[in-house]
Amino acid sequence: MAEKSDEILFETKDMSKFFGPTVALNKVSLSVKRGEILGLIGENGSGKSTISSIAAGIQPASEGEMFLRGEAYSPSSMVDGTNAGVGMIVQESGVVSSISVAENIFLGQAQTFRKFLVVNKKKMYEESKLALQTIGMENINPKTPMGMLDMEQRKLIEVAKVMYHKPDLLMVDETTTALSQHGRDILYKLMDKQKAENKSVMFISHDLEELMEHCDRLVVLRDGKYIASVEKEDFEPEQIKQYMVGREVSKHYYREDFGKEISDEVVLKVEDLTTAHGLLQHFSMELHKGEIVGIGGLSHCGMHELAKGIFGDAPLLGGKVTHVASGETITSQIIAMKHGLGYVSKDRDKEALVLTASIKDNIVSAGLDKLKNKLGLIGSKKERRYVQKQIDSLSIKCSDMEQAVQYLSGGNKQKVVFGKWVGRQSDILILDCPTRGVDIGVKQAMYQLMEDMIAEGKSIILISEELSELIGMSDRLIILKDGKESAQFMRSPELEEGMIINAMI
Amino acid sequence: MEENTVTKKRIDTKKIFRYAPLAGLVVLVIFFAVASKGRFLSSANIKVLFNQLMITALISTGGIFAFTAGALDMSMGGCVCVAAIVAAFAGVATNSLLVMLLVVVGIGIGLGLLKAFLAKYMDVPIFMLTIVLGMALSALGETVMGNLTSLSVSDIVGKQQNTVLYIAILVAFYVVAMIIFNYSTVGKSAKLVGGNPRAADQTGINANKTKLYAFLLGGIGIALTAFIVLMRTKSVNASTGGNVGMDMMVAIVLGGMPLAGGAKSRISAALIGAGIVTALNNGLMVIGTDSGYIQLIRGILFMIVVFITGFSYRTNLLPR
Repeated sequence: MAEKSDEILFETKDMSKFFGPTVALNKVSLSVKRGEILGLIGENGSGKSTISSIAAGIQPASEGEMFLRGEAYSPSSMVDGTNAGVGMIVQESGVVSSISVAENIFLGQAQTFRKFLVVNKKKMYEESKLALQTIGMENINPKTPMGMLDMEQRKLIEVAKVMYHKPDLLMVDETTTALSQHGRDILYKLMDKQKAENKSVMFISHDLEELMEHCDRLVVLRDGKYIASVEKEDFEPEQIKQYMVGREVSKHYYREDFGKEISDEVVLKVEDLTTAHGLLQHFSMELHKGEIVGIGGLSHCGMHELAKGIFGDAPLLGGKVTHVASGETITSQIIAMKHGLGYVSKDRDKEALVLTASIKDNIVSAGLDKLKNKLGLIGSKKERRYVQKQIDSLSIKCSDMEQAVQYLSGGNKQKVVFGKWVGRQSDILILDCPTRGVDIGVKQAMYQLMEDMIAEGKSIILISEELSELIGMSDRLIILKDGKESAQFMRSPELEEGMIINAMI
Repeated sequence: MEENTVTKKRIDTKKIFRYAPLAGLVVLVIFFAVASKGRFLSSANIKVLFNQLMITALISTGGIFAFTAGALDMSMGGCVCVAAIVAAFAGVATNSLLVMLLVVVGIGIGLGLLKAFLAKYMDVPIFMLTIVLGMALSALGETVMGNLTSLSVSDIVGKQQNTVLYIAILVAFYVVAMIIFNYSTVGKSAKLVGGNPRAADQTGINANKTKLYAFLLGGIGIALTAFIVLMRTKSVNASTGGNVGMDMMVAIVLGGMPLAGGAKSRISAALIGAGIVTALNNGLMVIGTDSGYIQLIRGILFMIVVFITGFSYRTNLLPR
């Protein structure tokens, strides 16, 4: 392995980025040495993805400078960045599914294979094979349409696409969340190879453990500002978390109580539910007052459809959901809301928020029926007070409540969604992956909120893909497999992931 | 603090964008006043301007609700045409102003209900539906006129122009619409439905009901517009209301709201946009522009604004 040099490959000086009134990056100066794997860590909205997207040429910085190999560097596009030797594997899927693997790898560069007026496809396929070899995926035929591949393979094609250009600086932005262990290993190997060749890696992730394992140095960002740089020998998780959150993170994360007496009072009854979409079949459950029922399973087990089915948001083939206190069957979202149900969808941007609307309009949207007077009018003072209460109690970071939700970070967006339902004082909350894509600080706040809610006698159905979250928060845990209940576990300090995984697969 | 000054600067540019349509209106008025050597603001022309403004402002104020809810209603011109013609015949037949008023209101509301019904039960994009509806209604108006080139209603509505009444109608309608738009569940729901129908649905907002109210408010706009047209021109013909639909669309866009509606819609677009369209139509004529060129200039301006508003949307949705 090459000895770590002190030669700086890439650096930013006082780089800032503004989105409307939001300051996404605030005078950040950092550098990456040759032969170094630098980890960027920070909560959502801390600015880590903004840095990488600017370095890759996806968007320009508002202020500040960048240097690559000691020379001023300001890419005007992603292709520009690639040519300069900066490659990025993006967080969101950047592939086109209707064209072939090869065409995806050389997306936007077909002209390099052009002979007179036609593209030399044969050459393109050969080059694609080479590109696929570099990441150990020779078994994929470059002629295959992208849409035929699974999520992981597609992600790896993106890796191949970036690696083909042999970047000096490789940026990996939250890619590993979409990969299995096998895919991750491929990526880690590439990162190590990059290091061995005296090139550099900028690795962005939520996962502190992963970063600590693979990086030589970590730079912590918070609220768009540079907070600290920590060398490998000084890695100390509690300290880094503290840098990220800006205060001491209490060890208290999930619930710590065990053996809580659950009330006999049933608030919601699900009987023999079969949904028209997805797999859920003949599912029954009862939700008690003050209880958190966790629902877990593999991604196609029917748990997300269950959430929609309970809230009256999905067509049913059979069965019914009854609000016990009123005896009414829930057949629509409107009836569900009338009885105090709330639903936080897994698909935040598409289903739970109107992105172009303000924080105010979004939070108020679920409370229109509570706020209106007899004439159907809503006074603006009353409205602002209602919204401000949620902004304060959930500590939503924003310049003001008129700010459009699209400018907020993932965690803050999710807080707005919570604000919608907490604001109208929902008694029964159905939370579908509520902590998906949010960081430690926001997660902790949400767990605390859930605890407070059940202490007030409210009830929660928590659907999650994270086992530790389900074990940590649920009074009762129902595991679904192929749309049916496969096991049920009661809250206990002895409950372990292994036992649950067995019931899932 | 440095950070604050940065934030402030940003908010200010946002505000400037917000007041751009109003500034545009002022610039247009000044431009035409100068270019026409004052004729544009002569008392005779101001009367003409006001009459034209009122028609566009009334129809835009009513129609903006459906646009906000994401229902691109292309039938407004045809609606005004039919409402005015049928009401004129009813008025002449009974020799009663009241009957004429009732018929015009009835037709406006009836058309609102019809559109809401079609929107709910026909699985076709609303703008397609309303293009066809608008053409059908114009044809219907022509059929009702039969061999008559024009029908006078001056015996019923009187010879005078009651400008005070017209102003009162416009002000009253705009104020009521503004309250509904900004402070009622109907207005708020329309913005949410237009912004993200899926999210609105999941939040218990009934899109069909919201569109029904929006089309009904549009219906009132149709009724008031048709009524004022009758009061003012004192006659109808097959081309009555011909430009109304297009003028309204141009007004709403030039007034500063996205054509697709949604959360960024604002009611002021109806009034300011109507002002811009009126100033443009009339001003170009006053300075002697050929009518063909007027259409062309309006078209180009419309495209520029659609491009700018659409563009700013995309750039605002960059990654975090």
